[in-house]
Amino acid sequence: MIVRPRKDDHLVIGKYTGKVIVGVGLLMVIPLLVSLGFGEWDTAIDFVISISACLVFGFGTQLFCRTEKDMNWSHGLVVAAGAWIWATALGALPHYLSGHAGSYLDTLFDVMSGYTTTGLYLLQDLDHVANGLNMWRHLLTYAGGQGIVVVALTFLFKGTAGAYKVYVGEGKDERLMPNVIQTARAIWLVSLTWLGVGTVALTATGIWLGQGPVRAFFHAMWVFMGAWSTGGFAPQSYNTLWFHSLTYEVICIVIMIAGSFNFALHWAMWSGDRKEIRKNVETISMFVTLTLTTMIATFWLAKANVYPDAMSLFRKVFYQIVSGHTTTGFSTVYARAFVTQWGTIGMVVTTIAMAIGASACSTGGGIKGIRMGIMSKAFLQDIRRMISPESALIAQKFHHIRDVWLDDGLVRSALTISIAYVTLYAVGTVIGVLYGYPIAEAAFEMVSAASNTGLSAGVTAPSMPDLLKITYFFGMWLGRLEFMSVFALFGYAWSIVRGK
Amino acid sequence: MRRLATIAAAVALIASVSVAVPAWASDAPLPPNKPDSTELINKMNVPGDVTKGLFWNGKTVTFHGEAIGEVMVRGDYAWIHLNDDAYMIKNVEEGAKLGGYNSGMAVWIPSAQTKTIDTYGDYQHEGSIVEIEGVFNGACKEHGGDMDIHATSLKVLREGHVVADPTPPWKAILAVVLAVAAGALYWAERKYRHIVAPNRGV
Amino acid sequence: MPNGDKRKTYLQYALGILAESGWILALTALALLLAVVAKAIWR
Repeated sequence: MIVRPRKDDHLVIGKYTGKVIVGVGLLMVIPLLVSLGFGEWDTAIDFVISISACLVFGFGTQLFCRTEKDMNWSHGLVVAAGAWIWATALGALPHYLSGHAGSYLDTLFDVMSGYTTTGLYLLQDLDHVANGLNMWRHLLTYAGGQGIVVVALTFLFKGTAGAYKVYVGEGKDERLMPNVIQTARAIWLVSLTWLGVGTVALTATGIWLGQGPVRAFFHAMWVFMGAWSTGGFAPQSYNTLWFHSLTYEVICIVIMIAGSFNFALHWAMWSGDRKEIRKNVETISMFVTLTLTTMIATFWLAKANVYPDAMSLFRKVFYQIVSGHTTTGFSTVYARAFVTQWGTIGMVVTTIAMAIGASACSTGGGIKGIRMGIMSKAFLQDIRRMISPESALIAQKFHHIRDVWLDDGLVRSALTISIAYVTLYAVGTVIGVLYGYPIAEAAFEMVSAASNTGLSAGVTAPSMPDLLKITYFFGMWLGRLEFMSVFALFGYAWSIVRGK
Repeated sequence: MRRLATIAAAVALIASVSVAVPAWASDAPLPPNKPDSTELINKMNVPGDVTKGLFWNGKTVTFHGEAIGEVMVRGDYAWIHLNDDAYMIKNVEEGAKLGGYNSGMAVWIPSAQTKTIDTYGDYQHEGSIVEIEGVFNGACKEHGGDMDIHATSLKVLREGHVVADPTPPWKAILAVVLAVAAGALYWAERKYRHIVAPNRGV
Repeated sequence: MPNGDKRKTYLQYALGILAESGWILALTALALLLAVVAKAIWR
């Protein structure tokens, strides 16, 4: 029997959703300050409008939904998914007011892409966009990478029971610290420290490469945010090809891969357990799949004689494959070059890297390393069981911060979510093919969206059919939140209609 | 007869120049690039076969576009980026109609030649339109496989200019109205936060 | 927190970043090696 939510449920959900949206509004103060600093008056007004709209919504909902009740599990999931939708609708206002978007749908696409750290975009004339708007685009990925909910948890939530439920609803479940608020703060500590180190390194490199100091700084900060959040937005339409620099690319590779690590891994490494990086199932999984995909792509492109020497081959292949595998989406090749230079085999290998994705509880997407590790170990365990005497008890462990028994429950959830991802990839590919796109391109683009990568083979464009934009929009959202909270949101809506 | 022909030719020449000069000095569209940036990236020697390479690889091209962003001087040579897209003459803030993504090509050129470029395009500027001639590389050996043009000559076709982005009155009014509303709701939420109706907290 | 402990904590953070970067750079070197080998095989 479906139980219809009671008024109290709506109030709790409304109140906490409102809090998250207030957080979004406050986040927009940063791009407002940037616009003011550069004298971009019209853009500054765009942000005043957008911030006010967020605050009107956020305080309005909290005022309307006053309650002392705390969230339970289903509330947490619904708030996580629902807040994302409202944050997207309101976060799109600066884009829309800038005049650079073809439609409101295009801006929704861009902002969902930002929060989910995908990196596909429909914004037009990016090379003439205001610094304030670029600050917002990159901040979206940085905040979205942490999790919009984590942002709110840090500043706006009191009490921890309900807070943990929203945290999990957003797709993380690592307990770095005993208390979820402390966990959120630990995540911020790691991200902000890397932000400092990475921005300094890239700014210095940019200046050395001939950029002016102001541009070097902003580009460095934005590129860092794109790399660390594995988002993939960049300040110019040329993406990171703009810099034409091995040094810049290598630093980006370090930040992209570091950004794809599980926050629990960072925390372990930073607390003195530096062996963890060699023992962890996710880093081992990534090492294996990254090496394999790099090897196949390298050998294919060498055979196809696309790049003239080893350094070019290395720079182009490794950067694009790392970008895909960490689900960042930075590129040093033009989108159509995937079709005209890498070809079907190159695209398929990249698609597989994207599909597998990054580590769990990180800024990255895809099926994720921990599931790849669990499924591989489960497969091996089954083989061992088959060849062992019937009475033998074959129990398997894997290492993820601590040693964990591989039990059937873990394997089952890894398998079901992986199947969900593959189904999502397949559905989006079919829709692309039905619109006439070649299958390799349709698959590349849908996997890119649903794994929150953001590499493009040229399918994503402002002129793309609206239904395909909507498909990628939902793909990005479902992929980022790992399905559960989105299903909870739809379940909530359904139960309002159908419940007793 | 010959003198007549010479006079006719001179008249024709003067007439065409006097038509062309105003066209070049105004907002008038320029003749499109052939090849344009899209063709440089897309045209393959054998369509569908990546092993046969790009058509324009190694060929000399003449290419013009808006100088975007900045010049990055690296010793004797420098990088500039030229966009030949829908925003080459005017950008969105000036009223250009939306026409898709930016598109252009990276250009590697002796830095001395970039000194004539006075404006680079961004939010507040429309960059100079620059024409270069050089060799296109589908995967440049010198630059780690980057797609670029190694230019030998550069000519500024049109100077850039500063762009204003004025705020329409409705935006300013909306900003004030919403800001006031936000302030009011903030105050109200704080005041009534703990005044929860009976049975709402159960 | 006493200063000695704080400095030890920051040192741990720095070592953590260095260890992560080192692992990644090792992977990067491996990728370069793969490219060199590939180009040797397919001239």
